[in-house]
Amino acid sequence: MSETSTQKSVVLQTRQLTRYLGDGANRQLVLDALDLDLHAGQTCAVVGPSGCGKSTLLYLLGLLDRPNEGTIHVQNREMAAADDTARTAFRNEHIGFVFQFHFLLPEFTALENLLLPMRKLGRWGDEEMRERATELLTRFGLGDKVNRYTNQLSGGEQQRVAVARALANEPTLILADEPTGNLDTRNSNNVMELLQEAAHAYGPSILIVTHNPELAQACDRLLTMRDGRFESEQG
Amino acid sequence: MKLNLFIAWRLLWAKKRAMGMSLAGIVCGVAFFVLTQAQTSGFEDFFIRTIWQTRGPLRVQDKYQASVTEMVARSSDGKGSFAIPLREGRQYVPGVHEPERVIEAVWNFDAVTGVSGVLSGNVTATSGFRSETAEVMGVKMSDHVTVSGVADQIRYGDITTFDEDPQSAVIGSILAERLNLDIGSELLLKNAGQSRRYEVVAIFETGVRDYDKSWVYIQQREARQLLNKMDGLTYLQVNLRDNDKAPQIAEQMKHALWHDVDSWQESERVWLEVFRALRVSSGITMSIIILIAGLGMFNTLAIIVMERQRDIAILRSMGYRRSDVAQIFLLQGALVCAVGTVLGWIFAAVLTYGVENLPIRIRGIFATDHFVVKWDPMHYVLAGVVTVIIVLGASYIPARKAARIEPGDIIRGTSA
Ligand SMILES: Nc1ncnc2c1ncn2[C@@H]1O[C@H](COP(=O)(O)OP(=O)(O)OP(=O)(O)O)[C@@H](O)[C@H]1O
Ligand SMILES: [Mg+2]
Repeated sequence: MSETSTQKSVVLQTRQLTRYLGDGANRQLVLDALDLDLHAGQTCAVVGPSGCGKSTLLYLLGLLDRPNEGTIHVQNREMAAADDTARTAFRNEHIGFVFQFHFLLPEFTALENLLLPMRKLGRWGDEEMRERATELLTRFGLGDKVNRYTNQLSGGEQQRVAVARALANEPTLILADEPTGNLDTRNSNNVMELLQEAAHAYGPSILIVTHNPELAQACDRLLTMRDGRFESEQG
Repeated sequence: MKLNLFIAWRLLWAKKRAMGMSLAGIVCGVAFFVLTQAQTSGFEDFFIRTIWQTRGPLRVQDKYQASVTEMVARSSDGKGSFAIPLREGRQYVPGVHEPERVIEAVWNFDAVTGVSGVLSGNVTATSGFRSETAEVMGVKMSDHVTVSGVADQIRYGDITTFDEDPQSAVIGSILAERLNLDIGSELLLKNAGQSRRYEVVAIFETGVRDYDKSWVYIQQREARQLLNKMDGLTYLQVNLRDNDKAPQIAEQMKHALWHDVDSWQESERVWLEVFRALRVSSGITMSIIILIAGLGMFNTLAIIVMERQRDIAILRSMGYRRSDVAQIFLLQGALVCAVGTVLGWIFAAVLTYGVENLPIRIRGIFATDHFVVKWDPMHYVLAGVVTVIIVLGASYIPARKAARIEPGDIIRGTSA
């Protein structure tokens, strides 16, 4: 692990990341001064009991939420306190998010769900976007269902579309919150393989929250979390 | 923009039932707005045209003299006194004096396209055993057709030989009915012990009840005899190139001619106000229909924003800015607005066409046998402007609310 981390560049770095949730008597320290470095081309698993703050951490790293204290440097830019427009543009170009409950837009087809972030980014032309999106879905075993509306897909299929969407813009940081929660072993392995493949192909940093020990072991790095702190690290 | 429009369209389509209701409201609002404007301004215009065709755009009448009186004031010590001249206004002498000179002066105005001298007065019209009060109009018909629509108002008979035949009388339709007169009938006009005999050569209908029941055109020389007026005229009826300028021209003529000059706008002010009030109030009423549709639209959009909080959060997480989200919802409003306005316009045109051919018999202030409408693009523009303001106003608040959604709050709320 030490070898890869020194060789690969740091994509994301947090210092003293602290987050409280709830108000008044319910106010609770969810993340307790976390320091974390994520490296390009590396997959990192986060495990821990329910309610320990895994999703909260991911929202902060994904620039969807703001910490109460601490900094988040992504590609050497401080983003925790950056303005909304900068954070939004950054999300579009550099962050791919897989939500714990695979959120797709039901009014759009699987292909269109992938095209939404791509068209917003506008890096590729119309034809190329379609080709890339179709190819990506095909790799996830959905080649024959690209034009299905997402509410006509099974839970597992929806989850795979959600993972594919997170990869669509080839982001530098992929944050996945239990991406294999609803999948059978075969599909779960397939998703994991594709994430690994992406990490090694063009070198994004991937952070995966999971309850699946097998999947966690397959990652380059494994972080265990408890009560808002990292308990142990192996990798 | 294109991308946001695409998203707006999909979100809108998913809510097509609820939106359809708002859309129908807007279509009806726009259509009825245009239809009522077409009708009220149609009747208004028709009324105005009737004025031009009967009393004419301008009348020169009553000569005036500035009268000056003196007020005598005594100084406080009672020794001296002085007179203060007071312009008390104008003293009118009825009728047009030295008509040839005044007519010539009227023709000096560039805006004038026709002048006809009229000598009028009340007489008793008798036929058989019946009598009615009538107003004789002593005219030269060849002049009078240039300042009124009398040629088009003839229902029976004709007026081509009027100026040659001193026995000719052209009478209003109601008078003809009351006196049981037909073309060729004999008519007796009496005034101050005089009684003269005429032949009905034509019967006219202006639609204006007051005129149709009393006016009798005879030659001016005949009128002089009958009314026993050897000089002067009652008024000059004047036609103009541009009738909308009548008040200004009247003002200029007043000073140049030393006669009172009355424009149609001034003399028919009351009726014109009635028509205007009708048009404005129907415009307001129909705007309220559009407003109600706008409220429905506001409601539907607010519901979409509530239901789509999660989708909005996802769009935001994928890199859609607040302004994109606001635009997506404003565009939904704009789409409904555009479709509603265009469909409303089409519906309006169809309705207007239908109403135009609807029979209705109106007599009294004008004559028509079907609804009168005015085809005016301004009505369509106005309806469009009202709709755009209301619908975009109704979309603004939900759009702003959508833009303010914090993606983190929503996503945590649904997944924690
Ligand atoms: N809006 C909130 N107000 C107060 N506390 C909250 C709120 N949302 C989450 N929490 C608390 O924050 C803690 C961390 O939540 P988080 O969703 O990060 O857990 P997690 O590790 O992802 O759990 P799981 O494995 O079940 O998804 C939990 O104890 C939860 O009760
Ligand atoms: Mg979680």
